[in-house]
Amino acid sequence: MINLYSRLVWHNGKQNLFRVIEMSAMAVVNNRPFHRHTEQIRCIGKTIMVWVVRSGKDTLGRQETTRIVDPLKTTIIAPAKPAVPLINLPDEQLVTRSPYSYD
Amino acid sequence: MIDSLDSGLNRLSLVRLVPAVNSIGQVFAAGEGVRLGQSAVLSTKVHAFDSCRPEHVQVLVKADAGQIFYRRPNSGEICHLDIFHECAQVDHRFVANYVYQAISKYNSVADRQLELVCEGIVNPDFVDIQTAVGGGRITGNLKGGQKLSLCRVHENHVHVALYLPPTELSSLFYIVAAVEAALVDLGVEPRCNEGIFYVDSTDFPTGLNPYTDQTDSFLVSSL
Repeated sequence: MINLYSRLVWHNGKQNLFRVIEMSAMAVVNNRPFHRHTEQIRCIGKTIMVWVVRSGKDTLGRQETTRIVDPLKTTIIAPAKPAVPLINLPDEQLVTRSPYSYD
Repeated sequence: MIDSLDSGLNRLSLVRLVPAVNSIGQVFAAGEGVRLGQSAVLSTKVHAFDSCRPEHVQVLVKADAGQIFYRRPNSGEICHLDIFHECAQVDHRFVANYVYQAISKYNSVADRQLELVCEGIVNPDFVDIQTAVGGGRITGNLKGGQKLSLCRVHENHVHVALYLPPTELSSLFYIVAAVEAALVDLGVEPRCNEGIFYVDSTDFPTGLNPYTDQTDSFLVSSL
């Protein structure tokens, strides 16, 4: 993760976002929720930065390793979005092979 | 049979499920995971999720669920379902009853039909469940899975592990529908999975001990 992160291009326009991302990484390490909202024009690399730092994923959504933590030392939260029950879904939504949703 | 469950399952005709079942077959062959409905993630691997982003499930591609959970010699034999919900203490006995009834219904429906390959031979003895309250084989005494760490990690999802004959993959939809129906009847909201990622290796700094407990599962022994 550090390797990929250090390979990102740093410039003044991204400095605040880098700072916020590093703050959120520290918050995650300390099991503190940290909400961040980023607005900018398209295609300047906001999402790439978050992908790389979030969990070591590359832009294909793959990552090399994950860390299994002790649940007694972790705050368990639920996914935020309510799910439509399976019986109410149309046929084409019964199975989703790649439900990727990036920032 | 429970009315809310029966009426829901009646909408899942086996013919309607054929394309979806074919997709699952392809996914298993590729060693990948898949989302069933919106709340469930299915694979034959161990799943993990980032505690800050529980809507994104990680499929550990080198950790077979049957080998890790039950020390089975062969890989790819055990289906692993995680059905997500709002954080709650979900009564595992209540959910297990729904799953048992859904399997009975599936076996009855599949046995009567003549067009498809499924035969209705799903054995409920080979289905295990775990929630934040407890777990075990759905046909057992359901007194296992009481370890605090194991319960904590299941506060946001119902875990189901099962052995299925390859012809009976349609029953997975009945099982997911049954768990969702049980959650709704308990007043617990199912929640949406929004991403599946694949992870090559896993670092277990505390070992798997927090995630294991005594079990009465029949999946441990060879089938």
